[in-house]
Amino acid sequence: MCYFKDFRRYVIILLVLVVVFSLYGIVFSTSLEPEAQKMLDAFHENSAVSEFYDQVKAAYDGTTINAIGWTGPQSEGLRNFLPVFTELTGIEVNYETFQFDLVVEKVKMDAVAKAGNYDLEEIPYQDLGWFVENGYLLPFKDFMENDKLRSPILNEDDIIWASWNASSWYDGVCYGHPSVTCTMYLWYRKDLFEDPTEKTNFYVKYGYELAPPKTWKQFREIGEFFTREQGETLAGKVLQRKVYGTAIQGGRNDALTCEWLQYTWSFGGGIFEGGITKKENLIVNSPENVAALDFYKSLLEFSPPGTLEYSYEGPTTAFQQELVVGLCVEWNDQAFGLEDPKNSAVVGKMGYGPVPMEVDLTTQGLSGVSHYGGWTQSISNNSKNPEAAYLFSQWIISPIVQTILAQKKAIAPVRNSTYSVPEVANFPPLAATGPAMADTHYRPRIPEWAEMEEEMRVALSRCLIGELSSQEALDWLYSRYMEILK
Amino acid sequence: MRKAWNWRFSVQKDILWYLPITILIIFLFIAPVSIMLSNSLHAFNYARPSEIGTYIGVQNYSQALHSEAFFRSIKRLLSFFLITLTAETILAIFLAHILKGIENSRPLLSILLIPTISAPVVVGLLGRFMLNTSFGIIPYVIGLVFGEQITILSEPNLAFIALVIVEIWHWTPLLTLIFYSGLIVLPMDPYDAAKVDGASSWNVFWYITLPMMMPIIVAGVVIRGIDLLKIFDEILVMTGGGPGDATELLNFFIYKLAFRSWNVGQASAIGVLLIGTMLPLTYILFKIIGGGRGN
Repeated sequence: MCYFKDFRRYVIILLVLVVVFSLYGIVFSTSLEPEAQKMLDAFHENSAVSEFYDQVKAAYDGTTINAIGWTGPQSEGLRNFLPVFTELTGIEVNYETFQFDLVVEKVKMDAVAKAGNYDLEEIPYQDLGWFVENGYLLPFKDFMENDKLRSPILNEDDIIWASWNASSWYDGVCYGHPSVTCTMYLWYRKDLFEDPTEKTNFYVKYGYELAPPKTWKQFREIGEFFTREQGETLAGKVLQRKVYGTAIQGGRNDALTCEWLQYTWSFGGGIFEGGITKKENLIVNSPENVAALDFYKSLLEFSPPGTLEYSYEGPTTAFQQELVVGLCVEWNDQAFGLEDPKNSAVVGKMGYGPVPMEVDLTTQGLSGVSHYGGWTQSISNNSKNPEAAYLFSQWIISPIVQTILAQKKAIAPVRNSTYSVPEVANFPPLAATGPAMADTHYRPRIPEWAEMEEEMRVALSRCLIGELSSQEALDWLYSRYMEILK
Repeated sequence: MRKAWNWRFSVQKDILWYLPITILIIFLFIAPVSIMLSNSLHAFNYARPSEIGTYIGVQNYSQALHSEAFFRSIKRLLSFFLITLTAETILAIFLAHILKGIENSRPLLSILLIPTISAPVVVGLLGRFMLNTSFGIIPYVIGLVFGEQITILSEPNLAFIALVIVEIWHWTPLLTLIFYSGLIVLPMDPYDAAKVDGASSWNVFWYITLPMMMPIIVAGVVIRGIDLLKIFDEILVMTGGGPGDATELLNFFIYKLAFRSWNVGQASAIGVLLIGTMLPLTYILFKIIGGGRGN
């Protein structure tokens, strides 16, 4: 009897604790975090903007939208500020993020099934043609011309046109906003490039100054130079393990095809002659492409053993851990991790520059082309709340959100003006983005590209593991593309 | 009159008895397969939106049967099937014997079953993390022992073998459980007679245990065989079909065609071919089990 009384007492105490903590969570979760409050205050500083969002809230309060995006620094950064959007507009956002292939699969399945599970969808820009030709996206024209939905600070002229055009415009119609401005450029260990001992040794071996490479030949030689065995020295220190000069994203995934295309374009190759996406213009097995693949494959010699399993984050991790100490060509948003003091041993030691060329044309004022790799914020034609979805997209690309996210190093912003903000201009990975966007190539955005890209992964992977030569792999790819294209 | 009423009542009772299972079979098998068959006879390639829904006859089948990648994936699946099933069966028989020889082996059996109760996706992830060249425990230990770093998931043959080993680790306990259940209910008379005759352990196993266990072995092999032909999750998570196309077995190939390339028509055609092959095969195997039971 006494035991039962004690037990009852414990249950009551437990229940009280549960209620108290629940109430605590509810009360404190309704107030914004300090940084989010700062963003909210920034919106309210402009009376026209404040008035606009008051009108929006009156019309859309209580609406819920579902958004889906790609797991990355930008989505994780954005998630922290979703309560600001809700506070401004009354629109609740359920934001799901997944890794690359899964996002694409989910969004396409939702579209094909006409399920309408998602309102705002982040899609890789190369799939824009697939979505548009199948009629799965709403054009943005009506939203952009609707005064009730137009923010006073939208200022489309400030959006980086190369990014917006590649990600969202198809046959002269706008289907979205750019989500991020991803581009590839050169990463290199600036501190080692400036080390006197390394400079001297390099000059002795190769006969020219150690500097960010202008040509692919120089790139390879620098990669070779910085590949060292355990026991050798690097910048005067004895190495406790083997280190490598470069790394490639050699796993059978989207990162591989993106990276190889960067090399291909730099070698003067491509998929279609002149960018005209017709069967008769296929040049995927051209001598330039074969040369690019041969070169790309030759970098395996100076890459870590796990390089054929790497996806986007592979080279980042390798540089962070100083397994790779030379250079590589990689994405700007992946470089954020290199400057993260929590995870990186190379904070402040990295340099970023233009992609090398086959032949040095810098004396003619030219620099290497970069691969554009952004995402598109689009609205599903099955969305139940398309206007609310548009408001969310417009909010994401607003100058205030772009600036704050860029200052937090969570996004490669889509606005020109953001790159002039001091914290952004002084953050090396973002400072190098602007010049890289001066001359970009992007992947074909035709409906067939999804299947073509899948086959490209297989062809490149089979070449890298030695099953096929570069010519055989690209000849096979050419024959597959001839079957896939009409 | 009474006879007619009894007959009618009997037929109605039979209909009611079989109705639920009939509805299930229609919804779970006949309807999906019919839709798949219909898709396979029409153009359903989302890369060509204007052609979607057009009747094209057997063109999807023709394209599949002319696809080198399709036959490569079948060849790999058959290799995977034969190697894994053989290894699992032998290992499971061996483990079942050991368990039978241990008094109170239930706790041990429970521990042994842990891999089997894990979801295939979890097993695939475990495999991927443990075999990763950069941070996996297995390449690290091999490197320590042999002094040379090994890349497993980057080498086509090693990646394939890794997939086989992961599958064996995952499902051998289930087969062990099936064989053990059969082993413990075998009659003791033949064993007593063999003991009196002074038969060796190997002779007892080969001439007494194995023949008596044959029906249960065949049943276990059929169950695992059907499962092996469906392997997908581990490939998706662990290797993604790579390196190259070394681990792109048939089911992954169909998935890639349907949900990455969005050539749903051709994927449906291959699905129909697969079902068309599996159904008679399953029928034959169950006939064998029935024959084995009779013996």
